Amino acid sequence: MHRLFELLFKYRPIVFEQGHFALGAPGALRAWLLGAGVVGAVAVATYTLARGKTRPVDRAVMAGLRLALLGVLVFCLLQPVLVISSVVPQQNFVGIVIDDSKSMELPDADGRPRSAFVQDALGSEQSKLIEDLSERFTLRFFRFSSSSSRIDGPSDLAYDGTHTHIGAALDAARQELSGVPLSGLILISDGADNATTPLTRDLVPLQAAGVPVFTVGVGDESVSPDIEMGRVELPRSILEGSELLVDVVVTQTGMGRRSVPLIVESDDRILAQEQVELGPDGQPVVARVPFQLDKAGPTRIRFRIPVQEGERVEQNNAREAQLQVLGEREKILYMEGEPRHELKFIRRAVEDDQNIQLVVLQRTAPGKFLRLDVDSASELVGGFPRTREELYRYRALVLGSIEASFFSHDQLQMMADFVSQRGGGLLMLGGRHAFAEGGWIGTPVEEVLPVVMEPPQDGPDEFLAEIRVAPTPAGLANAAVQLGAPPGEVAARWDSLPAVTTVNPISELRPGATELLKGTGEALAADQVVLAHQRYGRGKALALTVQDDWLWQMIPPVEDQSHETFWRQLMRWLVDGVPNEVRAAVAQEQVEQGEPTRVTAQVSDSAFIDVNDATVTARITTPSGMVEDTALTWVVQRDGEYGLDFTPSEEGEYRIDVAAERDGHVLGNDEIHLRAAPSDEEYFGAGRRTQLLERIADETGGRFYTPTTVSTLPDDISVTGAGVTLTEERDLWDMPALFLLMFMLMAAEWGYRRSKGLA
Amino acid sequence: MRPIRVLAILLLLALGSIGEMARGPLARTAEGVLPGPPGARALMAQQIPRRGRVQQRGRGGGRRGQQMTLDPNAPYDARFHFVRIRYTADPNRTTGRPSYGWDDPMWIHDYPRAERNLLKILQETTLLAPGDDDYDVLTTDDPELMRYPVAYMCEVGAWNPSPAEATGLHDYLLKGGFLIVDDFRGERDLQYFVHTFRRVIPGAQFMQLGKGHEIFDSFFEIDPDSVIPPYGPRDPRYYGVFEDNDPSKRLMMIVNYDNDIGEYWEWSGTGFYPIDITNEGYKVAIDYIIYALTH
Repeated sequence: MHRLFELLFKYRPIVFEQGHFALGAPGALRAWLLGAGVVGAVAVATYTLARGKTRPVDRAVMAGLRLALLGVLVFCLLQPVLVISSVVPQQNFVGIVIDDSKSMELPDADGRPRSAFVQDALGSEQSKLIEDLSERFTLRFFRFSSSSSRIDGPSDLAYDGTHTHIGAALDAARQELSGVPLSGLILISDGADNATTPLTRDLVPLQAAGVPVFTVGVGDESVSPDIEMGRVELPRSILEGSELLVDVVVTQTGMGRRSVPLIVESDDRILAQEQVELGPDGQPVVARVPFQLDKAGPTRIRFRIPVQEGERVEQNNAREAQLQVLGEREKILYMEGEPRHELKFIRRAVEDDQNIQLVVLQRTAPGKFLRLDVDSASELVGGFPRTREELYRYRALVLGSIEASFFSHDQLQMMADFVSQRGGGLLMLGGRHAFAEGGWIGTPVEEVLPVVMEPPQDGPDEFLAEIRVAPTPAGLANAAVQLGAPPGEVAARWDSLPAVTTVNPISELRPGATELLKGTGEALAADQVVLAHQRYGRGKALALTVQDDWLWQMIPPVEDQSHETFWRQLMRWLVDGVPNEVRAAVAQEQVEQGEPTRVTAQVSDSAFIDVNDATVTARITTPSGMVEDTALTWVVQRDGEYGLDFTPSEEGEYRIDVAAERDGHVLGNDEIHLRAAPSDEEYFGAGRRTQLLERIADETGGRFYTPTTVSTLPDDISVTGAGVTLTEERDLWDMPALFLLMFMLMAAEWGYRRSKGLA
Repeated sequence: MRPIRVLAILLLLALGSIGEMARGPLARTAEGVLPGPPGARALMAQQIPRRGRVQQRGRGGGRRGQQMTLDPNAPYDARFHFVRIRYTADPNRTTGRPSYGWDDPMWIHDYPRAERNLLKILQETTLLAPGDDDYDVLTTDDPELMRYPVAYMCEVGAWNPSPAEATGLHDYLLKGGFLIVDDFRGERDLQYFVHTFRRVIPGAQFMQLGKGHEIFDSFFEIDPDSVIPPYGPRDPRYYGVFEDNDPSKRLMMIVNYDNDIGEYWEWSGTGFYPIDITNEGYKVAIDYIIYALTH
């Protein structure tokens, strides 16, 4: 197409895009137009005055054609030109930035690796592209993967980089060439960028400096046949023995719809195995796989699909993720306002759970309390906690059937802060004194809850509705409500459980809340929200609006474990992710050896108020066993945040223990892990990302090429306007398109005359 | 009527003491666990009509010569209900023992005054807040029993559950139900009950519970030995059956041997028993119920 354009219009489109139009004829434009008008008027008069057997419409057509012909002729006489800025040969530099990552070695459909183009086009000085570029520019070569550096030429490329950070590489090349006249950068890559920083951030300096980027996309857009596993998200930490329900996205191209096994393993031990039915070409399918982790400590989980015959890329069949399995015993405070069966059965469900300590404060009579599973004689001796320090010792709070008026306003505010500031979990259970029936409307806790409470109806009879409970689609994807059933049988398991009752009619969720269980019943005006949750500040809040879920224990057969499983998973979920006073994190859980990363720690005191004057130390244990202490410094812009830049010097697993203290008093500590190892990231999303490369070119004023169109690149850079340039005028009057147009107009008039018998 | 009853009780007390003297006191192991059932005294399970002469037809109750009527069960509302277990009795054992002069089956003794009074006391002393009529009568093979995880059974000296009743009670206890057994005396009845109960939970061990057990401190702190039995000067003991026979696990059943706290509930407010002793009977009951609701 571009060749046809160039044939007709003499120059390629980029010349028209870069230049501006002007007329080169001497004299005033007005005089030329006057002359053209006179000639045109004569022509029109000639046709108008002539008679014979012509009709007016014939004369009008022929006059029009003749006027058009005259117009084209006058346009040519006006000497139209394109004014463009073209680079001065050998006065400018061009940076050639070449992708040096592993994905460049992937074979295309023709069996040749992507890097073959680099060798062919740039590998020798005799190659046409190098020759054309060298004639006009001084060339500088750069390589990049996760980092970038200057190289002498393509022969220095090893194609062993484990990441592709395009934006950073372009900016680094711009900076290195900032002292010389730079006409542009040529990026040769498959576009498989996997940087964590947004690309826009790195393009802005290029735009500001006016450096166009000409991108050359190599490789097939689609890798086929192949199966690829999408990124797997795991929580940062989980309690030992908890069940995880992980969604794994699997995409196939060219493999056909078939069933493949998905294996979850850790330390060569298979945790779970599921069959995955692959979708149509390019259509991802989600496989939901449940598994349990029962060994405390840092754990690396591997998800993999065995390599199928004929796959182009084998490395993208597996994903790894790290998480911390916690062996701690998490304390949950359960405040129950009246003796009722619910408490007994919840306690019983979690009593064998070594990671949950359910501390109970049971009000048995006005002013009389029963404390259960407390650690010391003094714990809760004064009743419900009155200070933040006392309440924040717990990871979660369960409110049973207890009226809001039992608590002081400070205690109610403290409960809301417990969720929003401390990051704890709050669960309110259904009951006669819960939700609206317990006067919780208008309290600070109301907005924490994920449900909307309506004022209770006045009437002689207490509301009581029998309901059957079923999981919502969101519930089916949540580990807390799986009841230990296989993924496809969760709904059936819920259906097998007996009906329960509620005295709290609740049918509306707060914006942003998620419903996991819903209830239906004849006595209900609308479906009951049975279990819902929402994030609130740093923590989360749950509402379970039934009052006798213990029927799920008493009515099913003795061996049925649904009730126990439900409560164990619910309690574990409630404390899942609840932060400590010191929360350490690392920017990436896996980096390459020598790749810098950042360790951060959020530090607060026992009331979870951010601390800016703490002494925070990271004890880093290297894979070889060396231990070094390094201080983290306060990030002035953010309260309570401390940071440390760290570069692993050896491959393997780093353990980082972060400890914080203030005035000799220990605030807390945390343990994180960092893995320094080569990454397989390059093999995921390995198809050429044309859109990304086009976007880079568009946003910087360059153009996108493929190996088949790259031959015009040297000419295009010449007219980009960057670097040392000359302004030149290029004639347009002799464009073949103009002559062709004149010929066609004359032919049209002659043809018209012939058809009308006027010739 | 009351003098007759007192005389009958005194007579029974005397007979019971004589019987015990003849057999010697029930041996206790070092752990307070009862020995196994006396195989020689194994009794044949015989069925009697479940309903006997009892009919459920409106609120009320009767004694001696009257046909006892049962109040209708209160509708389920997820709250605590006092549930009395109606059971099949061994007619040989019911006819072989003193008849007490009543026509009603043994499981119904003290009904319904005992539960009515106990519910009132629970309303007054705790936040349990049961309704006045929240008392039911159920059999252990009735699926409805699973909706009431605390139940009461009395006069178990003739208890002879059918296979369905035994299975029902087995499931009830293992799922989380709690059974209060009350109002029986004498080693013969105890051994019979232990033996019969092992048809429900084979190998169940009856472990003696003393003052230090949590159940006696769940609401009132009481010394169970200070609860004087209405039978007169006897040596009441309290046995527990735990899940998997492990005292660190859940207590599924408590057995008031040689005691009858239901008797105190029934006659409280009449002056028949001293207030202090009656109060102890209530305290024990409240402790049992609070414990059952929290453990």
